[in-house]
Amino acid sequence: MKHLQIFLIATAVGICAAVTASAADIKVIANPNIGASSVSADELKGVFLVTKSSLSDGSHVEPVLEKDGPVHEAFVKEYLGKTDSALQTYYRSLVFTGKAAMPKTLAADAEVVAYVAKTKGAVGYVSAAASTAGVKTLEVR
Amino acid sequence: MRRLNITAKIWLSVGVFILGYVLSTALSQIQGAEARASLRAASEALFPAAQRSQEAEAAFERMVKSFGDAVVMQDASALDRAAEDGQQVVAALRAVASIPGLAPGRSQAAGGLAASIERMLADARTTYGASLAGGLSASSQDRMRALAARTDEAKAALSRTKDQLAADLHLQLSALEESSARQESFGLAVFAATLILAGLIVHLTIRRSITGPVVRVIGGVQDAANEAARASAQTAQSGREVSNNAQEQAACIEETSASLEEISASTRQNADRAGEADRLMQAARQTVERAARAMNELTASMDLISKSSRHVAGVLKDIDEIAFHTNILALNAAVEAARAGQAGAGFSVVADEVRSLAHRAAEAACNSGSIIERTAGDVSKGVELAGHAHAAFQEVSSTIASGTQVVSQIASSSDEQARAIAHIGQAIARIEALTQRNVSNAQQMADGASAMTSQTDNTRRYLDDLMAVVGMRSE
Repeated sequence: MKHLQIFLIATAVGICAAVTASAADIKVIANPNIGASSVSADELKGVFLVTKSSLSDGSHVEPVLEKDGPVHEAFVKEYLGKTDSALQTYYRSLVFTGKAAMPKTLAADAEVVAYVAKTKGAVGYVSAAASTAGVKTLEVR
Repeated sequence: MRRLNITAKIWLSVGVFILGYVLSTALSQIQGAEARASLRAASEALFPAAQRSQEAEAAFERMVKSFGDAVVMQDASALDRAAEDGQQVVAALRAVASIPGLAPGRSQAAGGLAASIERMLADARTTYGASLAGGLSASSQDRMRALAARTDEAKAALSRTKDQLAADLHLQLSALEESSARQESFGLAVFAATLILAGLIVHLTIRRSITGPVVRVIGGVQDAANEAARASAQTAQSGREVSNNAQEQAACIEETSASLEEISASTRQNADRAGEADRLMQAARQTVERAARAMNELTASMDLISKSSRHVAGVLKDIDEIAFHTNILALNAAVEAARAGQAGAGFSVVADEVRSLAHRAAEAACNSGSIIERTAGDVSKGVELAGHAHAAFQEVSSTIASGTQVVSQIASSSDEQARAIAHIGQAIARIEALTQRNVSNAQQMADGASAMTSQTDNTRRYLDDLMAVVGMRSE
């Protein structure tokens, strides 16, 4: 019985590792008008849960999400500690109570990079392999 | 009030007491009716209103939660539940608005809120339904934001309405409680005031009509008794003093009387002695007169002696002349004897003898002459001295006459004095009798004053008893 449990857990971990990207595969990008070159994990979480509208250096920020995909899943799980559906529910509750609007959600890395590059204060995330021309990459501490 | 007699005043106080009791009872009846009306209003209007408003708030909470579930969980069935809850909210608020007897402001507020929530409900169904069907578009998000704001407003208004109605109920009940307490205290106060007023009237009546006059009378009598006691004590003291003084006076008068008798005796003795002195002075005058006459006779005798002396001197002169002539004759005889020689010798011896005799006669006559002259001088001196003595006797006589006169005056004065002293003695005897009567009178006066003092003490004891009766403390 015990052996079976260990086996099942190992299998699940293996499957997860196979289908999901890890933190090392994600880059956090920002519009170049943001002065900071790094951001703390708490700050990043605050930005994407819409509890923070500015960073510690005072620059205004606006989260930009990617639609479903391994990068999005990995980001939500790694940095926000939620699942995608929980995050959507969370955003809808904010919209219902009038506290915030739904954040911008784009389909692919290239769209995200393009939007972040042209939108002041925009903060997003893309896969590590994506081109980051016109944006700056933030180091997550 | 002052004109009423004591009975009327006491009945007046009882009447005031009864009136106050009736008044307080009537007031409690009236206020009890008011309180019942107020309680009825609270139980029929405010209490159900507060209850329905609470129900409305609870239903509103449920409605909001259902809408939230619909939007957040994308649950379409929650919309229907939300609509039902919303209808309950509206119904409860309309029920509140239709309660009769509620304050118009509250009814209007509840009605307005019901209409507002009804409108909001319709908008919410549309908006949230659209969001379920077509996702969260930007316009949909804007409408949802507006709805959220309206929901918050409605929630606040509903909460406010519920709180106001609860506060009204609480206020009404508090007012009722306060009114009840006030009514109780007011009734108690009226009763106490009546009791105090009645007690005051009774107290004043007793004090003014009974105790006051008695106290005043006691005060007056006490003052009078004190005054009488003082006066009688003073009188007794004075009587004793007068008695003592009178006794002393009587003793002095006795002494004075005895002294007067002594003076009277002395005066009589003086008068007798003055008479005797008068008699002696008369005798002395006669003696002096006799002495004066003797002096006159002495002077005459002296004159005679003086004349005899002068006669003796003439005789002596004759003797001297005879002796001179005898001497010349002797000398002649001697001369003749010498011439006669022997025969004449014997004769010469005789002649010598005659001559010496003549000499001796002449010397004797000369001596006698000088003695007679001396005697004559002494006699004239004696005459002069006798003149002086006579003049002195004259002066003594006149002095004795004056002395006699003075002594006579003294004798008559002494008589007058004796008579005056006799008068004084009589007067003093009368004073003595009066003094004795004064002594007995003063004694009686002192006895009377003592009796008065004891009567005053009795009066004070009676006054103390009376003061104890009216509740005064004796001083």
